[in-house]
Amino acid sequence: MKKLLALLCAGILTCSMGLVAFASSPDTTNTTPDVTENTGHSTQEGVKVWNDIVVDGKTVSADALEITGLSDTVEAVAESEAVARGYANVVQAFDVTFDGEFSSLTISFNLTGGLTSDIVALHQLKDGSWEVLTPDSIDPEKGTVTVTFTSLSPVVFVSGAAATPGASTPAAPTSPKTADGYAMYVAMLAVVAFAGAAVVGKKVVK
Amino acid sequence: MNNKKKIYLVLFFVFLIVAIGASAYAIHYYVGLRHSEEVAEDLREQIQNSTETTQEVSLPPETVPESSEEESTEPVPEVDYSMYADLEEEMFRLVPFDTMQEETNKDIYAWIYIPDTNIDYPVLQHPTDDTYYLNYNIDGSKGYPGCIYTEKDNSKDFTDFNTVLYGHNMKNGTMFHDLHKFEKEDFFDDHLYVYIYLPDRTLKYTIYAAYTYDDRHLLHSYDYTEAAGREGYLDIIFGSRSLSAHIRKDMRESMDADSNIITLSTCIGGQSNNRYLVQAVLTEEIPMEAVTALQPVSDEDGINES
Repeated sequence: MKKLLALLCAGILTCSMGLVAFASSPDTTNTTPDVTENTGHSTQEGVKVWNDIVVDGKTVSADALEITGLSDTVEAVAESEAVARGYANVVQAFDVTFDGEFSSLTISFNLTGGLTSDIVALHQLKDGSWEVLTPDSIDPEKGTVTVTFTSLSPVVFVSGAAATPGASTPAAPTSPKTADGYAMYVAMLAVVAFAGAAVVGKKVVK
Repeated sequence: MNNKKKIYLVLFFVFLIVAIGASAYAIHYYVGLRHSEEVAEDLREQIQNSTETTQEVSLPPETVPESSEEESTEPVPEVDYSMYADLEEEMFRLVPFDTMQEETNKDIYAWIYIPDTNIDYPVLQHPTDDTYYLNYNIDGSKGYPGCIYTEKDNSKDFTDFNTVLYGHNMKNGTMFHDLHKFEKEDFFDDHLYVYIYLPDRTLKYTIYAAYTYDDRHLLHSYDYTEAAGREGYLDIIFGSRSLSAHIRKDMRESMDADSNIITLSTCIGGQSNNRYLVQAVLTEEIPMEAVTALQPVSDEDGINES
């Protein structure tokens, strides 16, 4: 009896796997469709973006993503930032916006410029400062570079850093150091040393 | 003498040597500071004397009319300087650059003054060594506090897009220490102007930003050669959303790639990789001819008449 029951349960489980064949078609009126397969990429402003983007851990279509070119001034700023950080090549620069809220957004790009292993993304934050984003992955076969953002705005892909990867300040000249000297601490040292001499001197005299 | 006493004796001499050495350094440092400030005070007195008495100021050679062999019969047209008459008295300080260059330091080429601060100093530029006046004083002595100076990348006529002036943040309140007063919003709101005096004119700059920035070299990190680069640089500053930055956003409209700005840069205590910057844009200038023409003249009763 037990064996018969076990056989029956196994049969039911096997048959239940085929039930998906009876599932209804995807709801095409859904405004944020889930895309479970990488079906290719789209091109905006000369930038190829793969259709799957990951928003807060969830894979969604790249339809809500918009890529535009940078204005002359912002592009100049972006290039200046790259130079300031010691990067030799500006591969491609553009503005990325996303229709929706997120805390992390992962995008795969196909860049028209050269894809090298040292490529990084310079990303402008809301306060106007720039951060360096190391790609999550670089796929030479597909020609993609994948980056995760916590916010969106102008992005510049650069390569050819003079400094070691991960350095926050590549070999760029710095402003003169205009701090005061250490005289105050030296004066305090003198006081302590005199006090020490007095204490030790008393012991010598005794 | 037992071993313990020997050890105490050795320690005593070690402490004494350290104490004497440290004292000598500290005394040398503070004497140097005091002497430099005395030199600066002496220069300020020269300005005071030069401004209070009506005297001939050395004009650039090209403005001095050449004497001709034949007497000219045509009258010299009077220039109307009345447009400058209502400017504040700070615009009419006379800085005796010739005397300063001859008697104090030939590298003095400008003077900077910010009201309600201790910033009232000559500006120097060494012809070859950009770091010279970090470590050398106006009298040529080595050490602190150095001088307010610009680097060779900036021309000495303040016509560059961004002229950067450096000065030490001295704990005794001298040099560019008082730039940190602009960290307070009240002070920033109430103090708008920086005055730069040159041999041939006086410049008035209106402060538009005061903020902490990283230590990148501003003249080597941004491309000011193209208008787009200059506009972009202004966009960076005015686009800052840092809570500690003070920025007069409404001034952006009146500024463009053809503006002349100055950046006053000094260190921040405990933050060796950051700098405190105060930036201002040129909003007024007055030629030296007008400064001298509009100087108050004392009458026989000693009453000043403008």
